[in-house]
Amino acid sequence: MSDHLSDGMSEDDLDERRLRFTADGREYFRIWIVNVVLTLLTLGAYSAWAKVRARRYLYGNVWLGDTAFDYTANPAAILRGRILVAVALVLLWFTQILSIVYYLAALLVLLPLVPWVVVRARSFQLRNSRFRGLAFDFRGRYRDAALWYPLSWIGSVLTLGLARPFTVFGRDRFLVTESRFGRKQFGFVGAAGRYYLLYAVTAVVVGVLYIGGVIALILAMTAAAFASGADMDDPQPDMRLFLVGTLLIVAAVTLFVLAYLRARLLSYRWSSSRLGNHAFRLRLSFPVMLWLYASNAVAIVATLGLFTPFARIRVLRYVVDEFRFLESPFEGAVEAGEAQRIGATGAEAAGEFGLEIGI
Amino acid sequence: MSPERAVPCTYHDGRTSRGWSATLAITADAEVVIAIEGVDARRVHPLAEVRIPNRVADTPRHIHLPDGAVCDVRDNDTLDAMHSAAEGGAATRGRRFGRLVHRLDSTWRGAAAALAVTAAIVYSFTEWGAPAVATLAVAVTPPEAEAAIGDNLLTLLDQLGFLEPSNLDQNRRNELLAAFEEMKRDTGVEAADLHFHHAPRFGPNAFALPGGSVVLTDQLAHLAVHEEEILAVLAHELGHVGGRHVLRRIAQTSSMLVLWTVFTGDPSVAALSSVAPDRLLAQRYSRAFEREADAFAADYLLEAGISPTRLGDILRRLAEAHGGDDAATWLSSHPGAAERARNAEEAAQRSLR
Repeated sequence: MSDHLSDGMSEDDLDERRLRFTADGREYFRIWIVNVVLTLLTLGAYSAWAKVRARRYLYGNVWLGDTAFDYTANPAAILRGRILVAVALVLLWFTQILSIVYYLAALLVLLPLVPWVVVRARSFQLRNSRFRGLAFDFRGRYRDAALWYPLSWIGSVLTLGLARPFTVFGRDRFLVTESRFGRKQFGFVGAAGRYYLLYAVTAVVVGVLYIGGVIALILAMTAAAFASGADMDDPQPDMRLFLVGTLLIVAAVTLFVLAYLRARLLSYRWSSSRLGNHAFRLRLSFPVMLWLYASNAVAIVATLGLFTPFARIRVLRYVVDEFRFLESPFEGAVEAGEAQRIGATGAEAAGEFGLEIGI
Repeated sequence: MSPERAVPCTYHDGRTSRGWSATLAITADAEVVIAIEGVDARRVHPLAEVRIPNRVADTPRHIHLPDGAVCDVRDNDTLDAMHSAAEGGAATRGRRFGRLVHRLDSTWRGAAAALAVTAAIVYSFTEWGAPAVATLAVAVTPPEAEAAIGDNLLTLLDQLGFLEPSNLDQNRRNELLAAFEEMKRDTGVEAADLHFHHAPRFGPNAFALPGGSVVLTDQLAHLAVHEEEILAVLAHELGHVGGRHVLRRIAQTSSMLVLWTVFTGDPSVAALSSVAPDRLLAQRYSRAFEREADAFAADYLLEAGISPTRLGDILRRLAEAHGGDDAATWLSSHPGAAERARNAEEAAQRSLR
C-alpha cells in the first residue's frame, strides 16, 4: 500500500489515537420514536428538527480525547432545503405526466444544478460539523463538481461501467481534498488502481452469486416440479419458489455490495486521507460487516422497523471503534494551532438553504 | 455580580483548537460569565447573545459565544438549573418546546407514549387514510393513463408467453361477448372489454386489468358446468373494473410506503421494514376489493334473474382446482372460497324474501 506520508514519514512515526463511541441503542431509540411521532403529527415539517436532534445525539457521543464532536445545523435551513428539493421533484413528476419532451427539457434544466447541489450539501454538512470550537469546511468549486458528478456519470455509461472505478476515485479525491478542518486542508493519497481492484472483486463475486443462484434456483424448481408429481409432459413452474429464490439472490447481492464494496471503499477513503501530517486508518472487516447488515435486516423486518435505531447504533459503534486517528508528533498536538480563517464559518452557512443529500 | 453556582467547562476561542479549563455561570441578571483558569481572563455576555443549544440526552452542550468562541459543558443538570433560574418565566417558545422534547425522549414513559401515538396514527392511516388517498388518486388519474397501464400489462403478459390464443368455440365466445355487452349496459360500467385466452400457467382464472380489460381463461370456461357461472365470474370482474380496484390498490400500497418512509426516515430502510406490514395490508385491501366485487356481482345477477349461488358454485370448484379451500384468510388475497360462497348464497336468500 502506498500509505507513506508526503515528507518521508511512515505511519509508525504517528501516535495512534482511538475514538470513543458512547451512544446507547436504547437512548437513541427514545430519541428516534419521539422524532417519528412529532414528524407524523406535523405532517413531515418536524423532520428537519428530528434530523438535527438525532445527529446531535450521534456527534455528541463521538469523542477524541476529552472532547466530543458538535453538530450545529439550523433545522429551519434544512427544512427550506427539503421544500426546495420537494418542489423540484413534484415539478419533474408533473412534466413526466405531461409529455416526455417536457420531462427531458426539465431534466436538462435540472442537470446543471446537480454540481451546485453537491457542493452546497457537502459544505453545509461540514461547516456544521465542529470539533474543539473549529468548524470543518468544504470549498469545492462548481466546475470540479460538474466534472465528477453529471459528466462522470455519462462517462461511466458510455464506457459500459469500465470508467466507474476511476470516477468514484476522482469523486472521492475531490470530496476529500477540498475539505478542511479549521485552516488545514485534507489531502488524499489514494490510487485509482485500488478502486479497480475492489470493483473487479465485486464484479466477479456478484457474477458468481447471480449465476450460481440462478442455477440453484432452476435445479430447485425442477426438483419441486418432479416431486409434486405434476404432469411430466408439461411441468408447471412453482411461482412461489421462483419469487422467494429471486428475492434471496437479490438479497445476497445487496448484502455483499454493502458489506464488501461499500465498507472497503469507506475504509480505503479514510486510510488514504491526510490532514496535514496527521493520518487516519480504518479497516472494516468483511465478515463483521456482513453479520451486522444481515442481522440488522432480519431484526428490522421482524420488528416492523422498530429495530432501525438499534441497527444504526450497532453499525456506527463498529465503525467508530475501528477508526484510528494517527497524530503526527512533529506537527504539534492537534489541540494547538489549527488556526481558523475568521469569517469562513457561521453566518453564511447557517442562512439560506441547508441542502443535505446522501453523497 | 458574583455568581454563586458555576459549571466547569472547556473554553475554545474559535481560532485555534486549543482548549482552556474554565467555569461558566449564568447570573440572576441574565449574563453569562466565563472565567478562564490560569489566565486572569473573564468574558461576560448578555444571555440573549449566547447560543445555548437544547439538551439532547446527556451529550455535552457546546455553548456558542457571539465571536465564534465555544464553551463545552458536561454538567447538563446544573447548566439547565442556572439557565431556568436566569430566564425566570421568560423562556422562548423554542426553549420550552426543547425542554418538552427532552422530557419525552429521556424517559421510557415519554417514549412509550410516542410509540402508542405512532401506532394509533399508523393504524388510522392504514384503515382510513390510505383508502382516502387512493380514492383521491383514482379520481385525478385520467382514464387514458389507466388504460395505458392496462395495455402495457396485457402486452407484457402476452410477450412473456403467459397468454396464448383462445381455443374456445367461436360461437360460445360470441355469446359470452354479447352477454358481457349487455352486462356493461345494465351496470353502467361501459369502459370494459373482454379477452379470451388459453393460459395453462394461470389455470382456471379470470382477472381485470387497469383500464377495463377483463381476461377469461379457456381453463375457467371448461371448469364451468353452466354458462351462468361464467357470467357470474364476469360480473365479479366487472365489479373490479367499476371500482377501479387495481389502480386503488397501487395507490394504497404506495401511500403506505410514503408513511413508512416518514416512520423510518430513510426510503431504503422503509422498503425493508415495510415488507411484512405491506404484505399483510396488501392482502387485506385486496380482500376488501374481492368482497366489493362479489357484492357487485350478486346485485347484477339478481337483476338479471340469475341466482347468485352460481358465483358460489364456481368459486368452490375454483378453490378445489387450485388446491383446496384457503383457510388462512389473513394471508390470502381472496377471502376463503367457502365464505364467499356463503355470502353469495345469502344474497340469493335475500332475493327470495
